Amino acid sequence: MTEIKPAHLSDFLLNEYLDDALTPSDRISAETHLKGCTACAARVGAMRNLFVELNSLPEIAPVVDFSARILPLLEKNPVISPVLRWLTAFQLAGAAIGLILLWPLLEAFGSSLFITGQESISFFSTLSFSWTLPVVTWELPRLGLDFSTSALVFVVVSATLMWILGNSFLLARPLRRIG
Amino acid sequence: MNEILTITLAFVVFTLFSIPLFICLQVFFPARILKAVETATKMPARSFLVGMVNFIFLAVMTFALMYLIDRLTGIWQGILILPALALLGLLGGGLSLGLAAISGMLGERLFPSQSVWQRALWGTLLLGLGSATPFVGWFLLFPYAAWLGMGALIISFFQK
Repeated sequence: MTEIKPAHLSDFLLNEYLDDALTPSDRISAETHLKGCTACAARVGAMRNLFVELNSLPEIAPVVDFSARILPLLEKNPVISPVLRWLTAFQLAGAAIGLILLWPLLEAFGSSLFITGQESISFFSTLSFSWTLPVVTWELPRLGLDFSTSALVFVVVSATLMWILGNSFLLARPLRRIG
Repeated sequence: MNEILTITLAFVVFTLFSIPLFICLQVFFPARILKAVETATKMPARSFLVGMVNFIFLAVMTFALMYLIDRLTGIWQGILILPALALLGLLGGGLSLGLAAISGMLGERLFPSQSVWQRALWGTLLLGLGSATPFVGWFLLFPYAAWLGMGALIISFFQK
């Protein structure tokens, strides 16, 4: 059975040939065909001339430059809906208020948890064995410093004033666009 | 002499722990850190001043709240500990992200052909060990890097 080959090379093959994108075996068979086929050789020649001509054309700048408007949009993070943003803020505020309200309960629960290592829980004695809990205690770190109220207020007020004035001076002035 | 060695050793240990932290931050917040690096490069003086002002404010407020917590008991202690922890978190987060940006910037300038994690590794090592230098590193290089990074991070949130 003989392989039936098309009479001429397709435009796609000729383009691939000119782009040097054919596999070595396809390239050899295309070159063999072009040597014997004047019509295909003429088409390749015309295509090559066309590409040379296209490459030699001067580049024309577009009348309207969209890049300045489009690029900042591409850089923006995905938009989060305002509803979700508000919901998250409310949830955070609610969680903070809840924690504050729950604190006395947590404190009461915590105090029942603070058992020294020597104590045993009577509940377990009914099950004919005893269990000693490890010591669970936690204390806030103590600063051990002594400031007068006026000194503390002075430091806090000074830092706040410096913060407000500094940030309003350094951040409120126009910031150059970067990137 | 022992105190100098202890502080230097503390900086070295801190550097070793900071390497994985900064690499993780580079991976989790690449856009934010990149923007902070660009800000620190383009406006270092303003970044440094913003970082200094905000660091001092947050540190003073945290200290004042901790001092009050130290003096109070019961529910007031519980109420005040929340903002104190929030401020401490802000301070820690800002410093970590800022220092991650500065170490990334160092790595990028010195080893531009290496990958992100390698740049973060070398940048953190250089910054950390440089900061371990007695006095000059403790009081000049480290505060400069920390405030520059923190300020650049804060400015990056306000840029349009």
